[in-house]
Amino acid sequence: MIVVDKLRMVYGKSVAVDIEHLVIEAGTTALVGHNGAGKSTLLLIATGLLRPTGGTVDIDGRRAGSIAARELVSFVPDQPSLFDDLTLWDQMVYVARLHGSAEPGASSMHLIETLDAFELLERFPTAMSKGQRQKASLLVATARPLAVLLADEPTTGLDAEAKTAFVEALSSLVEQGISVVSSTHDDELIERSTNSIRLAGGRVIQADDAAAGPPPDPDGSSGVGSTLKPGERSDRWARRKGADPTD
Amino acid sequence: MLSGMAAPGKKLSDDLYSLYLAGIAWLLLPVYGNGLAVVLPSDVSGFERTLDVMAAVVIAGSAWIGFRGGPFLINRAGVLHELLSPRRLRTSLLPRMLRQGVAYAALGAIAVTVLLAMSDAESFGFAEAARSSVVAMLAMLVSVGCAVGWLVVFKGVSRHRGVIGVVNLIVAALVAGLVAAGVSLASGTGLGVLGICVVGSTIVAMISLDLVPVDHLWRRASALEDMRSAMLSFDFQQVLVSLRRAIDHTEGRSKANVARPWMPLQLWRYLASVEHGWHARLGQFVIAVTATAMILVWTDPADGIIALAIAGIGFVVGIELSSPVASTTGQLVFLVHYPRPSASILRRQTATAVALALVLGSIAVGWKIAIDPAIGISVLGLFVFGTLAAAAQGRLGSPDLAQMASILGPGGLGPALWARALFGPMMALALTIVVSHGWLHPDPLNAPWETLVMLVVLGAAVVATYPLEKRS
Repeated sequence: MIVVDKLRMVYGKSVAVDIEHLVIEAGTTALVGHNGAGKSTLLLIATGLLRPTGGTVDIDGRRAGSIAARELVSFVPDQPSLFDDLTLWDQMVYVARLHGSAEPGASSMHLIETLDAFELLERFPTAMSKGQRQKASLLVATARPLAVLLADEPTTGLDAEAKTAFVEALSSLVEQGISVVSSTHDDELIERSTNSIRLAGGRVIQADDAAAGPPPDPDGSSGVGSTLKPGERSDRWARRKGADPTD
Repeated sequence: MLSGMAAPGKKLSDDLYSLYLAGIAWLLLPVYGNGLAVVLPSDVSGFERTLDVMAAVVIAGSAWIGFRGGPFLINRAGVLHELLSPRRLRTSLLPRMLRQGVAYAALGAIAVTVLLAMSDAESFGFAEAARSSVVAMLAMLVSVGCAVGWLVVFKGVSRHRGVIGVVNLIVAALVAGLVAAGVSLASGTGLGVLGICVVGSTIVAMISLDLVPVDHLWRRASALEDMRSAMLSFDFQQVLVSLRRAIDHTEGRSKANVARPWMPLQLWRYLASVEHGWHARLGQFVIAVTATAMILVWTDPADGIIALAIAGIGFVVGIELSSPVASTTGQLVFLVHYPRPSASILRRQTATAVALALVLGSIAVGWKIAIDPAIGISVLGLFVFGTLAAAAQGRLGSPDLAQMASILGPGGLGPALWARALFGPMMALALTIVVSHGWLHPDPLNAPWETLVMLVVLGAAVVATYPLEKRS
C-alpha cells in the first residue's frame, strides 16, 4: 500500500504535484491524465529519484527513498535505462545480486516466457529495438525481490502485439503478490488495472475503486485528492475546465 | 568479449572519456605548446612556485566541481539499479570517488611531467621531479574529496551542510594561506599540510557520501544521456539545453537556458563525431599512425617534448583499447557480482593493446633505426609504456575496494588488489620520473632508468591481466 500525504512538488512557479492525501492499494493501479498532470513526478518521488518540495510518500510504512523502501520498490522508467555493456541476462543477474539474490527467480522465468523474450537474453541493449528495450527494462526491474513495481508509461512505443504481451506480463506480476502502479495513456492497460487514478494539474481529480484515501481536509480547499470519493471531480478542477462541478 | 567489442556503441565510461580528452591534450600540448616554455619558469623554485599556485587553484576549484554535480559520473542505469539498491549510498559511491581520485592523481602527475618538459628546467633532477609529482597528486586527491562535500553543500538538504562547507573552506584556506606565505608545497611543511588536507577532505567526503542527493544524480545522468542522444542527431540546441540542465536542473526549454551565442557549436559538432564505434576507432588508429610518422619525420625524438608526445599517443591508444573493459569495471561491485569470468577477456584486451603498440612502435623503430638504433629502441619502449600505462589506468576502478571491504572486511582484501588500486598513481609517478629523469635531465647518479621502465611495463602487464571477479 502506498500512502501519499500532503505531497507537493514545485518547479519554480509551476506546481507539478499537490496531493493532500492519497492511498494506493495493492493490485494494479493506472495513473492517468494529460501530459504534465504529475503522473511521472509522483512515480519518481515514490521511487526515491525525486525529492519532493514537501510531504511524504510511504510504501508499506517505509519512507520513499529510504533503504527499507528501496528493498520493496522497483521502477521502470519511460526511457529504458540499461547497462550497455552487459547482456540482458547478465543485467538481470547483476541486479538480482545487488539485492541479495543469487539469480533471478522463477517469476522472472515466467515473465520471460510471457514476453517471449528468450532471444533477447544474450543480447546487449545496443542491439535491441525500442520495444525490445522496453521489455528488457521490465525484466531487469523484476529480476530482484520486490513488492511494488512502478512503471512510467511502460507501453509507449510498443506495437499492438507487444503491448498486449506487456500488459499481460504486468498483470501476471499481481498474481505473484506484486503491486503494479503505472502511469499510462494506454486504454488496454487502464482497462486491465484494478484501480484508476486520474490526475490533472498535479492533483487527484478522480480515484476509482480502492484508490481514494480518507479525507483529512474536509473543506477541500487544498489537496483536492483528499476530498474525493470515487467518481467525483473537484470543484477547482471543474472550474478550471469551465464545467459545472456537479456534472 | 565485453560490450564495447561485441556491441560497439556510443557509450564510453564518462571518466574514461575525461581521461581520453586529457590524453589528447597531453599529446597536443607538447607538440603545439612550445611557446609555454617562454612563460614557465626554468628554475626549480620558480617552477615549484607556479605549481603551488596551480595546486591552490585546483583545490579551490573543487567548489565549482561540486556545484556542477560533484566528481561522480554515473549513468541512469547506475543510479536506478545501484544507488537504489538496498545498501548505503556510501557503499555505492565510495568506489566511484576512489576511482576518480586515483585517476585525477595520476593525471596530476602526468601534467607535471608535461609542464616540466615545457619549462626547460635544466636544474631539475630526480628528487625535484618526484616531489612536484607528489604535490600534484595530493592536490588532486584533496580536490576530489572536497568536491564531494561541495556537492552536498550546494545540492543536498542535510543539516550538516554548514559544517561540511566550513571544513572545505578551511582546507582551501590552509593551502592558499601556505602558498601566500611563500611556503613551498613541495617542502616538508607543505607536503605535511597537504597530507593533513587529504585526510581531512577524505573524512568529510566519506561523511558526505551518505548525504549525496540521489535525485540530483538522476537528473544529471538523464540530462547527460539526453545530451549524448542530441549530439548524435546534431540537435545542438538540445545539446546545450541538456548540458545546462545537467548543471542547474532548469526544466525544459526557456529563454534562459537555450544556446548562448558565444558557445562554439563547432566544438559540439566535433564531439558529436566522436562516436565510439569501430569506424571511430579505425579513424583514431589512422590518426595515431599518421601523427607518429609525422613527428618522427619532422622532429627529433631525442627531444624530451617529442618523446612525451609519442608516449602520449600510446596513452591515448591504450585508453581507447581499454575502454570496453574499463567501462564495465566502473560499475559498482563488479568484482563481487559480475556474472562472467573476466580473465580471458582481459588477456585478449591487453594483447590487443600490446599488438597495436607494437605496430605503431615498429614504425618508430623502422624509421629511426637506420639513423640511431638507441633512439629507435627507446622510442619503442616509451610507446609500449604509455600504452600499457593507459590500459592499466583504465581499470583503476576495478577493485571496488569499498564494496570488497564492506563484504569481506579490510582483511579480505589481498595485497594484489590494494597494489592494483594504487598502481595508477604509482605508474604516473614513475612516468614522471622516467621521462624527466631519463629524457630531459640526465641523472648525475647514472640511475638505471631503463630497468625502471621494464619493471613498470611488467607491472602493468600483471595488473592488466589480473582477473576481476571474486575468487570463490
